[in-house]
Amino acid sequence: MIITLKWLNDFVDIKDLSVQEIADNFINIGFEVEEIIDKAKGMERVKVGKITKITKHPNADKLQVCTIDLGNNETVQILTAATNVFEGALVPAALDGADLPNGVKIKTTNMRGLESQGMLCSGEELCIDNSVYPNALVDGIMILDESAIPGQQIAEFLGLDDVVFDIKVLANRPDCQSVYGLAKELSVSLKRPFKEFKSNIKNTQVDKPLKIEVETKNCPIYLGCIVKNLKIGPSPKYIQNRLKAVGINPKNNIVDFTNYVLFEMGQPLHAFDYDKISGNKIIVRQAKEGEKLIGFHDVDFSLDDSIMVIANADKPIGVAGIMGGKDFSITESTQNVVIESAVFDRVYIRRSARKLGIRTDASARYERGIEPISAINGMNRILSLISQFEIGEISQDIIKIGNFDLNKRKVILPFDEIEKTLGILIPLENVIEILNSLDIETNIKGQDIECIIPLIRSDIERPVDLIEEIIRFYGFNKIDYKYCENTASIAGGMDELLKVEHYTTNIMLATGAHQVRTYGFRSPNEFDKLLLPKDDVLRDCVKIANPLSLDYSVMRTSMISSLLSVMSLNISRKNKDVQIFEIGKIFTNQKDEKDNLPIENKILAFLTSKKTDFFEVKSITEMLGSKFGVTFIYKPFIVPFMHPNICAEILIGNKQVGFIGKVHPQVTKNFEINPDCYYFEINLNKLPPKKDKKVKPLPKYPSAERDLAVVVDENTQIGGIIDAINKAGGDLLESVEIFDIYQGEQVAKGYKSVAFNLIFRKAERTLTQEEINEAFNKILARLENLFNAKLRA
Amino acid sequence: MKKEIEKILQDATTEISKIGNKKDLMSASTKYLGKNSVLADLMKTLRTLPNEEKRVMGESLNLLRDKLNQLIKDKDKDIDIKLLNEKLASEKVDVTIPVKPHEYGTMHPIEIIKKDLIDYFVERGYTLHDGGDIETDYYCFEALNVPKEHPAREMQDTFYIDSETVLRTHTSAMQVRTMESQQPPIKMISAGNAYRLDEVDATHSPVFNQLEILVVDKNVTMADLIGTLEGLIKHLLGKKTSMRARPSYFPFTEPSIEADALCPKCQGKGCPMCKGSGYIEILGGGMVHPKVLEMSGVDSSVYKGFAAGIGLERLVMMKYGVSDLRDLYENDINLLKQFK
Repeated sequence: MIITLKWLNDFVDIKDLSVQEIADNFINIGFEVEEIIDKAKGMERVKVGKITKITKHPNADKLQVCTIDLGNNETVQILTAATNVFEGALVPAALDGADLPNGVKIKTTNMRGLESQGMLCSGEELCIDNSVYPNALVDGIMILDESAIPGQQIAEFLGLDDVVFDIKVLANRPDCQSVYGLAKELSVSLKRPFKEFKSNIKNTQVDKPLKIEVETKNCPIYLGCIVKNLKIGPSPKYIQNRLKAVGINPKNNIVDFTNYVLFEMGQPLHAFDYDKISGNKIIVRQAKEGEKLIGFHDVDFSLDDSIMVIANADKPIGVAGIMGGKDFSITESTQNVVIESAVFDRVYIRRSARKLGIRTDASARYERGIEPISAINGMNRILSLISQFEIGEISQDIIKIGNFDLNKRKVILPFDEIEKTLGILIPLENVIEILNSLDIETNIKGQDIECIIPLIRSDIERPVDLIEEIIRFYGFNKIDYKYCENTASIAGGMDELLKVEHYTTNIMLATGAHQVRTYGFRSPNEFDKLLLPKDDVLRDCVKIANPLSLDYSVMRTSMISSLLSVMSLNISRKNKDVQIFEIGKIFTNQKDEKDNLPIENKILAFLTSKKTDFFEVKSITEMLGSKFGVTFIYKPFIVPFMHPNICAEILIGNKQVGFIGKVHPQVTKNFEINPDCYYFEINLNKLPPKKDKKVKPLPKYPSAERDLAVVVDENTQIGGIIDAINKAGGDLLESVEIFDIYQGEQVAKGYKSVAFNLIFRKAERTLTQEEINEAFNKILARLENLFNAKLRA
Repeated sequence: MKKEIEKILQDATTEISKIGNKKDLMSASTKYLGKNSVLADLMKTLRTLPNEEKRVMGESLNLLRDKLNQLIKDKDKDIDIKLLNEKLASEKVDVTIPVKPHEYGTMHPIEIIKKDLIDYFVERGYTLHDGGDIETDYYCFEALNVPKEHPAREMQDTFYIDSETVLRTHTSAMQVRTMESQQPPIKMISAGNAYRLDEVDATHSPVFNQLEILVVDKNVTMADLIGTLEGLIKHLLGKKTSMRARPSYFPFTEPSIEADALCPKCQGKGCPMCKGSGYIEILGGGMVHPKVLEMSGVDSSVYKGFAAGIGLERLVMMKYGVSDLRDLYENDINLLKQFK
């Protein structure tokens, strides 16, 4: 919301305050000041001067010596090279010490033997254009019109002697989308009187027929008033200046007044040319399919029944709450108008504006919500302006359609509720003073304060809303800090999955991997890069209905593309040995039962471009497994984006929890990554919660070690052999470790030798040689049986 | 015989002192103490001597044997030391040769800040809950007093999956879920992703991280919220800062505040860090709106609550001097490695 200091000053005296004081007051009561622009900055030492005499410079052909009258019998001599100056001309004179808007500093100088006590300015040097002053951009010195007074500040003459504030008005305060509303707030903050708007309308009999019909439920309030015999012309200077300051181009008095009231009172108004309202009838209705309207800038709008229009007997003359039709707008030749001040449904206007793809100052206010009282105030304000400047005859009959329930809401505020909510005791008299200054009438009834809420404050519905008003003006800085001393003491903690996540992060950091963070949404094009077949389950993703772009349009179903993209960026920057991990979410299209939401899983994903091999990476997942006290089982696994022969699924029992392997070289290539990459992911949702375990007592009796080397077919999976050894070894076998795999001259072709180190132990006593031999032979027999293994000599 | 003993000792001392290796020492040991040594011969002659003489000579011979043993033992030790010194001398390394440090991974800066905040609150009795990134319209908006078409929905442009499902625009969605699943007293935090339809630029990201704080109990007031936030801000920015609460608006809290920290760099004078304002906007919060309590099944006539939400990226940028938000999601390893 853009307002100006002078405009605010119409309603509360603030001339004595600094701009910063005003801004601080707004901030303290909840209105952030986003920008402050002093329109006159740099023009402090620029005045209107009248050239009383021009002579040639005796020593310089191109310079003219001007005698400048600055009023009050003050004259200066200024030299200029401009040729468009003449005796009697009124010009902007920058005097000694001026620091112009374009950054130029002005000093009295000697120019070829003659003193120049300043500089005559062009529009460019004052950083203004034709919208501020006609012909501001003429070549040479800016020549001012006859209304300029010598000695007058140039900023004042140009209407730039004002300060603009851009104030952020939050969604709960539609009433403050106006100078009037913000001035009211400021007056309460400053404890200064508020100069309320008083309607002052001179009206007469207007013998022109007009009928208004509202055929839609989306227009609860409609006011219409005829003004005849208009004197269309430019609006008063101050109104034009203020409109320019808030970014509106002045047009003519009627149009300017509607815009002026929109900014001042927050009420959108519209003026239709009465003589173009065929049938003398205004109908508020839904548009008919195929109807059209030419809007401003000659844009053609196609309408349908989802759009509410203002129509005459034949066709739409405006889109309700958004814009008027160009053909029905006010021009130099307009003689009579109908002024509209209405309330349209907030939601409805929002949808229509979106549908038409336009947002106007009017629609923005309707979207926030307009109260019926505002429509009445707005109409009164514009009619008062028309009366004040005598630009037309106002009908005494304002046509009013709708339900004008002007009963004020009552809210009961229990006095002790204030302290219970805020934690400080605010004296009753302060409470009452604040509420009353906000025009909230109060009646004390026992322990309660009965509050009667002004119609414009639809945001105040409950006691807490009143408490907010009280503390806003009493000051949050008066609240003493408390630290929940009076609340129950609870032992903190966290959900199991989060514990798993934190523990996993620590483990991964120890591997030397760096943690990354990536977006959960990605491009569907990556499915092709990952070589996923058309019907792959990983293509079945959650799609965003309104994505920023294709690149961020689907929720990821695997972490791999996120990490490959990070890798790709690092590789492109010549970063070597990149080892990264992320704990992130993947999303499936399956829905959970409770909320019918896509199921999310937290995944640990790891990717490395270091020179490594499958087993080194597997040692990381093994570390994770051991830290979580689970045994991971690895089985060959086919995933489209992984190497077909160097990839395993990771299981706990028969439940898959992840996979590990080398990324398919075609996939790394698709992501523009040269080196081989190894990847694994583990679903943290499927890891058991980490439990504190009791320690195992250390063994009391010695162990016995035996080595076992067998020759088996080269395709035999060693994991299977180890399983068999463990089974056959039974209780006596404490551990089995592989220490050698050999293929070569010593072993027949197509076979490999595998050597294991077996450790036997019994907790209760020392094992005998016979027991150990028996267990060893049982293991060997099992291997011979299952794998056709031969004991290696 | 006495003379012989002295001679043996003298010869042995001279000979052993010259020995420089274990092999020679072994021969000397055999020579002086072995079966065929002079000492052994003398021992043999001992029994031919008369008793008194036998005793005296026996003592002398034993003493000689002990001395010889000691000589050899000492020499053996000397040789060991010599050998070790030779070995050590050969094992010289150039300690100035540079090496690659053993790599310990680094946490992502957002995660560092997140963990710091989680630890801070868990220590103070809060429980960390996890929530879904994809949330129902109900929990993200409706239950937080933001009905459909509420203007506040425009404050946070939303990614929709379908008309009833959104990518959560704030972690506040966890407030109602928590209150539905447990009775007060509640001290909850939740941290995670939030999403808004913002184009990516230096200060905007469609994905960002928030931490949500919720306390519901019988005697909770705005003073507790302000105190809690003040403590948090001091934890984050150090003791030199202080907090300013100013009114704000969120549909799910009333009264609502925005908490600013006095710029720790310039103490409010205005500097580039606070963009000249003297204050840095840190977080928003307020007293939980009674409508939200009621919709969550909490009796608003008995219980009150406060809630606050804090964006983590801004803290990261401030703490580590990261000026472009995109850097945090780009994950250049050379940047990540700097966060120890």
